[in-house]
Amino acid sequence: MEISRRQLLKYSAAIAAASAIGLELPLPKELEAANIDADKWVKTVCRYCGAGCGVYVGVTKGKVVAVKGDKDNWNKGFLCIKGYYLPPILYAADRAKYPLLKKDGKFVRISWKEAMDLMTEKFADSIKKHGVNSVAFYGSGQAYTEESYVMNKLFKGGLGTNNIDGNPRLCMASAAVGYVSSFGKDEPMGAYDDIYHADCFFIIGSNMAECHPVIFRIVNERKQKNKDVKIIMADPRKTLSARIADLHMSFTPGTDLAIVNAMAHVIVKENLYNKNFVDKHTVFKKLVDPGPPLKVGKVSWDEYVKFLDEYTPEMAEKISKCPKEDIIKAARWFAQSKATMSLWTMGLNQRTRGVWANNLVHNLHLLTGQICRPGATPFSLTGQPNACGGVRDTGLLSHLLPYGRLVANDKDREEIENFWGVPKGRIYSKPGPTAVDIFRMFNKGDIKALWVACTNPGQSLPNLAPYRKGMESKDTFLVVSETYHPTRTSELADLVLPAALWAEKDGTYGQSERRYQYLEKAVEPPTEARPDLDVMLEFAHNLFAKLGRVDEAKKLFNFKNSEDVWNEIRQCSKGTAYDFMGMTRARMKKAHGIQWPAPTEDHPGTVRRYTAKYGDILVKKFDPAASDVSFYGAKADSNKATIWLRPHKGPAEPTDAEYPFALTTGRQIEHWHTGTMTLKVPELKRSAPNAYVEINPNDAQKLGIKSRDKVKLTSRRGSIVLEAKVVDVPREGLVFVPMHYPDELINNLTTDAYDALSKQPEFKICAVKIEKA
Amino acid sequence: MKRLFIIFLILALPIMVAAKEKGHIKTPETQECAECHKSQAEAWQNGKHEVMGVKCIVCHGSTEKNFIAKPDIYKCRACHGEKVRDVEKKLHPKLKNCFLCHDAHSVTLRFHTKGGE
Repeated sequence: MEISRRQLLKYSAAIAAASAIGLELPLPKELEAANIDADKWVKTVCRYCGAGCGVYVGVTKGKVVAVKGDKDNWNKGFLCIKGYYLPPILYAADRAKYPLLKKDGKFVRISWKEAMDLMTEKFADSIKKHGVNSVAFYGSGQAYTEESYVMNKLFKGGLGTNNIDGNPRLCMASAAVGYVSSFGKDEPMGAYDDIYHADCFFIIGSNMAECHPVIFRIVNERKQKNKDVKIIMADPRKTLSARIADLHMSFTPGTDLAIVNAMAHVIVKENLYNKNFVDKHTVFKKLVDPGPPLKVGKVSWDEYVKFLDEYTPEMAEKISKCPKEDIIKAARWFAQSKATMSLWTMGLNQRTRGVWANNLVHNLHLLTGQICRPGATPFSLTGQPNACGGVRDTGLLSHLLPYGRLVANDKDREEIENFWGVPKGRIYSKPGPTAVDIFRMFNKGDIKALWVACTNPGQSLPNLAPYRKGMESKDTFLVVSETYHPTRTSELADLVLPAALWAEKDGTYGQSERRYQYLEKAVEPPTEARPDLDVMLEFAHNLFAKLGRVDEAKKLFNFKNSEDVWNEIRQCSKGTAYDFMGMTRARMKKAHGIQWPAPTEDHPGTVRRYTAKYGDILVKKFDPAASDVSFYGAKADSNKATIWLRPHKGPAEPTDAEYPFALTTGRQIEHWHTGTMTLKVPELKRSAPNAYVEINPNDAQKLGIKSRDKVKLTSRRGSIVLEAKVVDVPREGLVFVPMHYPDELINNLTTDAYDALSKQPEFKICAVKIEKA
Repeated sequence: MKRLFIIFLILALPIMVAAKEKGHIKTPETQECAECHKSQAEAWQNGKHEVMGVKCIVCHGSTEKNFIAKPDIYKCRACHGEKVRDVEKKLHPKLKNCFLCHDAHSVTLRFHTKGGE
């Protein structure tokens, strides 16, 4: 309604006058809001991205009817449009209601008893006939920590197989291996709090405005309140995020390693590095032999400087097409600002040189001492709500054990074998297959029984078509635990188990800044859907009974509820660099998340790691001689971080004459991952109803393409027809397609080439040709 | 006497009439709001909500049966719970509309954008 200032003042005066004489002025009906306040508000966390916004869900008569942001959490009550529209995802028409068995190509309803008996039989038979490595589990960074911990214990500790991996292999593995190889331990040392203190932001391979909007809000606010703050945005697309940049560095996709090395070159040649910090806190290493086995060697500062010689800004400009003036400016701003924070996501991680790209960003921080103090930190933004807490930290990935331990390390295996009470030698010492390889093995029949929970590989795997064919095969047995049916994965399953969703079960999530948060159960799951933890525990007991090991299961899986599991998890972290023994369930129920380490119940949590001055209590424990900074996760290097000599290397599939465009995939703010939840919300679907291909206007003109034309994209693996969106966002030679849409499977075109170190596939770059359809 | 006069004044004040809520016309699924609602889109483009990705659907729903032409105060609560509570307490516990003071699309204070009348 339009009302003028005069009308408002008159109305306000009327209210004031009325109250002055004890009269309550009735509101005109048109101005009255229906109070839809809920009966109760339950504290939880948003279901979606790795930002991990605190949220309250409003419950009335057993239904979630509203949400509001948690004003006492880091997000200060703010949500993005996905979080805003959380309630409808619980009530979508295609909720998976009952266990379903595929018979003659059709799904028929069966009971839970029949489902569990069948599943147990299939897995047990396979183990007896073909060994423990004939079964596998593919988990998720959206599962609760308690769920992932139990499955990890079952497979690695119970069965003695490392055939267990998760979808963070597709998004965060390069960041995880990057942190471990640079600092000795995984996970950022900084926090969102650093944003409030940074004077320079180096944001590379991240469209924060659409992918981490509530974190972006803080960056934007920092910039708005402090005009001297500099924002560098390095991205081949001029995204929504880039609009607030002081410097947008655009470059040919896959050439950013040359750029970051060139920035280091400028920092060294112009004497902008912090010699004292470098001498005190770093060592230099290079790859000697890619192996296997991998061989690395230590080198000197002089050798590093010599390595950087060729990475002049001119050389980087030639390779990347990023103007050398921009590279020099970025380097100087990075080094000379009072505090510089880097932020990145899949642009660096989903690459065949993802680990190297991560190392090179860490190098800049280590060279300049822009680390371990407020505002100065290299901060990897995580994609999923629990990739950190549930998969990376809990050690679900096929090479990991819980809380910073490795299957290949004798001491780590012994420690966990003792902790779990399993016989010495039970845990297999060889890392298991990773995500893409699990599905390759499933295709070949080397893995005969596979359980997929809380993720959608039938849409999200790169080079998708062969894996979908494998999943559909009648020669293997695929179980899918899902909240909805059909999804592009559950439709391929032999057995579908209906899963409770988010607000229908309780558990723990751990987001990007090491903040673990408790999600309280708010409502009951519908029909026969069950929490995954219940199903996993039942399966564990049933399977071991079938294998004649009932008593062992009673010992290993003696959990009545998720709190029992959480208590064991806390114990498992005790004494490690993660130590969150102090995060009791009771405390987590009251808190608005706590950042680990938090070794005791009275410890408030740790905002910044590796610095005694800024509150990391573990510096004194692991490195008593340190006065402030200590990278105590890198014991083998005397608590020093590593500056890596990583040469530039382009993508696995560069463009060529036949396939002259680079295809990159990514996100829109309306949707999350494969759209199984957000596409159920009418408002989000209306705002972003389908996939499209974003084309640069100059490219479009040469090809005779206008917006809304149908366009065919073809890679070496597959093709797709999409509507064109001609917009000045992607640079020339680059096209962008969003990944969310089940009816437009862009992953039929992407490559499954993966990083040699992290095994993370290169979703971000493959070569395509374009023609009008 | 004074009391009677004040009551008269109150009763004599003009009552604002809100436009009646109506549905949205049928549109193709991929048509963007800005194609028809240019001035609102432009005002939104320069406001705080736009850079935060708070799109039309947040306040107005989709163009189907859940379309809302004039959203009420509870639409704002998910992110601005404190402000909504503040308005309820200080202005009126059942007041419907944040947009008495805030311009609906640029979200600035109305007085400031219009400079008075």
